[in-house]
Amino acid sequence: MARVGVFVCWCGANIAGTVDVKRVAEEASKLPGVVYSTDYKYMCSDPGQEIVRDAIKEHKLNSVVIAACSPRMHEPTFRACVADVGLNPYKLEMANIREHSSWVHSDIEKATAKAIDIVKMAVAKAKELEPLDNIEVPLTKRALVIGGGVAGIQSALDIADGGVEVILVEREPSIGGKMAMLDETFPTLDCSQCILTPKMVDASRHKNITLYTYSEVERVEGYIGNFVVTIRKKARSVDEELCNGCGECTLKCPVKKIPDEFEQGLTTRTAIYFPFPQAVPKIPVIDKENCRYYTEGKCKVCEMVCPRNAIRFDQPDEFIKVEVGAIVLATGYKLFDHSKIEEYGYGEVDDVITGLQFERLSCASGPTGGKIKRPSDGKEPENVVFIGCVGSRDDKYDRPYCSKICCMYTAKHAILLHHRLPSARAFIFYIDVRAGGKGYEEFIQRAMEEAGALYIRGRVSRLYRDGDKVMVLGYDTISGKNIEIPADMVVLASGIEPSSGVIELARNVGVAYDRYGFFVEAHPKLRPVDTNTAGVFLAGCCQAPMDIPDSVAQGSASASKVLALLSRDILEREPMVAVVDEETCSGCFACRDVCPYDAIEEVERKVWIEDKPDIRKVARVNRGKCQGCGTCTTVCRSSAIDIKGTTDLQIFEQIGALIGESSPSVKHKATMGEEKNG
Amino acid sequence: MGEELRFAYYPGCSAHSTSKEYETSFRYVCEKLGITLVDIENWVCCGASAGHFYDIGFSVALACDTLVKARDIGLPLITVCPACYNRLLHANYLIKEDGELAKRVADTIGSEYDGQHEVYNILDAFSKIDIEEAKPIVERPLDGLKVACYYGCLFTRPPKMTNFKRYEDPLVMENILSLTGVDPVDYNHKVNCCGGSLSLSNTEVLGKLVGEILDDAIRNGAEVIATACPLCQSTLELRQNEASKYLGRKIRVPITYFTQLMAYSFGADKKTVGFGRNWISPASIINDLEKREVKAG
Repeated sequence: MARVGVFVCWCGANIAGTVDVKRVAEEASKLPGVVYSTDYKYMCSDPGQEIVRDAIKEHKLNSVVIAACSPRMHEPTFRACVADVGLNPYKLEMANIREHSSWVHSDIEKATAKAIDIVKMAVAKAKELEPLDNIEVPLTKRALVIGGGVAGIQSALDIADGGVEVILVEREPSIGGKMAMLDETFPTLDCSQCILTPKMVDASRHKNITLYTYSEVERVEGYIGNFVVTIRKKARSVDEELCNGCGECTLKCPVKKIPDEFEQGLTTRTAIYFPFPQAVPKIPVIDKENCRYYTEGKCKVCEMVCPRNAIRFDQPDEFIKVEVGAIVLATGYKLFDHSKIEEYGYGEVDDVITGLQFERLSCASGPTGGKIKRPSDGKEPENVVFIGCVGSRDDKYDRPYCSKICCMYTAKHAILLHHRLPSARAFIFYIDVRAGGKGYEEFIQRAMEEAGALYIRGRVSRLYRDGDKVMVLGYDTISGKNIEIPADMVVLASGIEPSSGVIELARNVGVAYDRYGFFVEAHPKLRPVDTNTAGVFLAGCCQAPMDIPDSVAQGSASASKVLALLSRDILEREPMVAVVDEETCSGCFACRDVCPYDAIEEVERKVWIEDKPDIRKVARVNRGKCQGCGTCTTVCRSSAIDIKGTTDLQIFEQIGALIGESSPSVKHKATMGEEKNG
Repeated sequence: MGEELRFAYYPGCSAHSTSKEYETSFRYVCEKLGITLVDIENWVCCGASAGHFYDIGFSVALACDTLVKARDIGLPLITVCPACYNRLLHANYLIKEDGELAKRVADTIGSEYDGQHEVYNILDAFSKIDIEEAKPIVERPLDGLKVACYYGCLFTRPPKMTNFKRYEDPLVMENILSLTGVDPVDYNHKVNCCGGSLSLSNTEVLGKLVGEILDDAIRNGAEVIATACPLCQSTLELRQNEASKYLGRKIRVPITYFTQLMAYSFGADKKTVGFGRNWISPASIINDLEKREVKAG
């Protein structure tokens, strides 16, 4: 026999200002099954909870209805409260009379009537609540970090320092990501490599980190605490154990004209190569598409010169299966491709370069040794035009978002230009200068005052080559004048896009992504590094454009989330999952087809048919994977699936209470599709 | 020659007045290339210039009247004039967008029209020709003639309406003219505004616009400028005094329709080619080509 207690909260004036709480409590007391009802100013406060606990003991309540705010607010609070005095925490129902009534209505009469209805429904459901136990899931104390840029490295290091094993997977032959390509960093102008390479080395030497470079995640199966990941370790064609990184092979390789990816195409590399001198690991890779042996069947010069016989032309790709408990996605970004921009000459105008190319030109370890020379003829440029928002804040290319880093890196470029070539002049076309951040606005001022950069507010309408110069036609929206600058070099502040291949990865891992391909966080403010897939976290530009400090902060944040998760021995989850009644399951597996979480498994069940034993296949829900979305219940032909905590019976009871009919009749109408006058 | 090309031909007013040489050479070239033109009878103004400033509905009705006539012939419409092309595309676009307007237009022209009839410009049509197959037609190759192909503002724009590929740096006219053996020059201002609509109101700006285009083409080696637009042709040709004034040096460069060069190379007679109707005739430069070859040989 149900003994329900109803506790109506005023929430100060939030509820009591619009809903007559006394009347709600009084009406509730008349409902069948309710043995106690009361109201209080703040039910969630300590004395409020005391009222609940005392009533449970005194009136031997076996179900509790709290008529207050949204369950998203205080359901956990009251679950703990009732559990304190021995009631099963799932014998609690929240009646949301704040968001669903007092906050959205102004008429006291009507709001009170609605609140009473809401309480009625909650009581009807509370009478049918079953005691439930949390689901316990074992977990693997190991983490996977996908992406070896600064965000991924930071995340891996912090997790590893916390004593948990980490597998760090990087698609390129070396870790380091985009940050390894940068010259000096804003707003302090410290050398990017000097601050990054120690971290890269730490990551490769850490006893808790296993590094897989030149590797990609092929498949992700499983669920929080229990992922099974398949990694494809692409063949480097070099024995990693034997190679000592002497580089003799790279010096003798006869194929030398391949555009160097790390140097942004400003110079060339050989077919067997290190991506850059500080690469980690320092093991070369053979680029099979360009290697003479792989393309023409002869050469093998590298094999001949290798003093350690480490070249392996027949090395196959390796597939490695690992079990991990948590995953951090840190797949970074790529630059907007400006060849899409018609008015900038389809990317075909000489001496129009990207921001990353400028970084390489300015960098002491870059192709020009840190001397800024324009690519076409190696001349030192005098007038350099910088164009902001290239592929950012531009609906035409479906890139309405701000890439966030470009204003700052363009100011930095102007300062670097001034340092390297004091006689050169920087002209910066901008829409707005966005410099929120510690020391950022001061840095912009420094670009104007110290480096003498001329900021022109307006967009560039056209770029074309005229003899020795790149003609830049723009408009100064402040003076209202057309501007024409014969520039020696043009640097585009190319915006940020998600890396290639992220959509496939997102589908593989099961995380949401937005229309541009950025991964979606669970909550933009309160859960910025979580995803809606339990056990999967985000770090860096794969989530949204961000600079180095933000990426590092997110790397650390995701690491702390992973450590918190993996610090437990057992995962406890709410038991609101689907359950199959194997007696009535017909084994059609329609549920498996619609399940977004791959949680339906096939099991064999022994049955007796006319006194003979037989085996029938039925569905069973993996309680670890199920997220309780309920999609399966709607397609089940034999109504064999129910969601714990929201069963069909509980829902029909609620509807019955609202319309004043018995729940069997409601159910009959709902399932048989009976018409009003039928 | 691949698919048979048949069009309902809409000349527009210019082809029958200031740019007769465009029409004669165009008809000749079509005949040689095996393109069939069926003349639209009783065509009317496309609604450009004064029309669409006066009343957009009126201008759309004018365009639709011609479009309906082409539809009734049952062939896609072709026009040689970019202004006509623009107005016809515009009419199709607006009729599809605006049901009210479509009704008004139907009342005016006395015929229902759904905005779906296909409109070709001359470059679209010629780009369907297989250049290699057409080579035998050429009787008088223009090998070595340096030509700057000038498109003007309207052929490629607005790109959402014209679906023009590489609308800031088109190459279609260059490709077609390569049939005649000319050597197209690469230059920057091929889709800039010629200033035609300022022809009478602001000759100072006109001089700058024309000057920049011609200067750029000449500096990149052009001996002749080829165009496909009657207004561009007359502006670039007749405003060279203003352009010279802007540039501070005397310039004089022939501006022809690209179809004139084609007709000449296909062996058309003088009247059909119509160099005589150009204020600055390219005839002497073309005649000199042979001497150049002799020298080079």
